[in-house]
Amino acid sequence: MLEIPKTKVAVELNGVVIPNSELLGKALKDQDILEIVRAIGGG
Amino acid sequence: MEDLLTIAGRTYKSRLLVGTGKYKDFEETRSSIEASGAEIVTVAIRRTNIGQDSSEPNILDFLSPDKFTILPNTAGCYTAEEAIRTCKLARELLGGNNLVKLEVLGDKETLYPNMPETLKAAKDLVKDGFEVMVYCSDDPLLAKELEGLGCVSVMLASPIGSGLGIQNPHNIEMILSKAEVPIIVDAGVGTASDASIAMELGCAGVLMNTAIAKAQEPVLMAQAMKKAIESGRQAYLAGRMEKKSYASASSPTKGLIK
Repeated sequence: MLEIPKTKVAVELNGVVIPNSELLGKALKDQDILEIVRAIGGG
Repeated sequence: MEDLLTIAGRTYKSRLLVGTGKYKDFEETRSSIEASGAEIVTVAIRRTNIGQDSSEPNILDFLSPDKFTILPNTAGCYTAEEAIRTCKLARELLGGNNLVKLEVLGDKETLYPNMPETLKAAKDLVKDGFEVMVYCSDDPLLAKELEGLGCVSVMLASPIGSGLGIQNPHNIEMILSKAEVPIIVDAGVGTASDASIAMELGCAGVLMNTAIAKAQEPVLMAQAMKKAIESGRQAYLAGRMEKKSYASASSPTKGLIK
């Protein structure tokens, strides 16, 4: 289980954005590529 | 009647949009933005590390989406593909918010937009239901083309973070004369008079970041920018006097003591 608050991140799995409502229980497989982003200060 | 800024069907009292980068800390970010009166604030979207401290402060804890319109940008993207991917992640991050600031950069030195890639990204994003505020070079034809694609606002580029002020008033005037969506000066503002000039030209608003964040006193500069935006807007609405080549006495000559 990843210790990241799901309301403050967005997750992409193998190039597809995963709805936050579906994150819990999402199983990962070998070779999966996960991208996790958050908001930071920017102009 | 109240003079409101309308973007994508939402109305705002403030015509000052602010970025959230380059501040000393989140507390300074919040206090400066509150002093500016801005209602639309931009954020960037970046990778986060697995295993990071989950209790680490997050900018959205300091600038609540309940209070501000959070405008995620695609800063740092150099292709349409990167920008579209960033927008899709931002939409999920912000609970389905479709409003994005699209910027596809051309090079690292000028940070001017790559317009072919910008046009490509804008077309796809609008088709996907995004409300696109788009960073555009000061070209009247391109600005109109982006409007035609369905962008909800065109944001005219000045060198980001340069503080050079308004370099292209004639281009801005040409764009404003044809525009049917809000035209916003984006970046390049250095001080309050720069913001006023943009508003006096008739721009719908100004987006700035560095001018406030890198001022010696960011909160004080934020207050100055708020006033500059308001006074510039009022001057635009009031309509400036006609320029004349020669002097014209303000006091009547009738009854002059000789």
